[in-house]
Amino acid sequence: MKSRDEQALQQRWHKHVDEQANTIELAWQQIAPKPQPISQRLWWLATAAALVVAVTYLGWQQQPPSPARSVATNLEQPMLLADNYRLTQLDKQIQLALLRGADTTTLDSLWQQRAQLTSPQALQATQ
Amino acid sequence: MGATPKGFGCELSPSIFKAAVRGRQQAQRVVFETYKPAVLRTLMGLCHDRELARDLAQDVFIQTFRKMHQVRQPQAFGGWLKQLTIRTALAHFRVQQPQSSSNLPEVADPTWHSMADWLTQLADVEQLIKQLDDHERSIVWLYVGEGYSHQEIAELTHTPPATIRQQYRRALIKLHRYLSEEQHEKS
Repeated sequence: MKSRDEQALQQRWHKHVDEQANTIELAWQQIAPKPQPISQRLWWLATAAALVVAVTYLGWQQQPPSPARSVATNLEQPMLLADNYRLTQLDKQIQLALLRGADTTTLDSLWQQRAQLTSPQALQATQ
Repeated sequence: MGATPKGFGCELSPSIFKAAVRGRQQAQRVVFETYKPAVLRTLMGLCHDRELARDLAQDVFIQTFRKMHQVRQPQAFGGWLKQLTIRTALAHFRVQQPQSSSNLPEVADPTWHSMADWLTQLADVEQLIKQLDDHERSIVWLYVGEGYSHQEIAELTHTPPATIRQQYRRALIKLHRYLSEEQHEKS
């Protein structure tokens, strides 16, 4: 229980802090991580694509596919580029929805689509 | 964009929360815009310095996006962020001005002599707050401004509760002394 004096102090201090805090300029750009340059992103994409091709080729060379093994192997492989493209598109949709103030239902639906796209079953179905 | 900012009690949509945890920048921006007023307000109360409050707020949000995966429920995020904000400011003060001693001599309770009316009329509240050092100001702000108990402040500052009570009383005496002098000069 605060005394009358403490309550008066509280009132004055709150008002002062509110006035001061409202004048502080802090922009999102001062917090946000710097986006990677396009050339750097392309380089990473090219490296990832080369790795996928190399791993797939080596796997095919060293272990001839058998029906019993193919399912487990497929689960361990990275996603195909087409799926990565769809995932990237979906991520953009989610961000746009957030920016436009979409409701929870819309956002949840987008997240569900993303979860389905990245689920092991979805990966298996595409291969 | 999202909920209207209403302090640390704002609720985040679970989707936005998840997206922010996963590093989605637009979702993180929603988090930033929603809680920025509360973070700046608390830091302004603790620091009493706009530049420092802004710098510490930057630090708080950078830490937030690095550590927010530790929060399991979106509903708990506001409380977690408030703790992070206060701890960041207190850590800054500890580095700048280490506490001298926890064994302070006992002081008598401050008698404010009904300073409430005088406080209400006081023109320069800034000068009043300046009477306190960083540590004293933190304690008084956490108790009066943020509604923490002495016990909770003791836990936050890793100080015995009795010491916090004593330091709080000392801070009030300082304010009382300043107000008395002001009152005496004006009358």
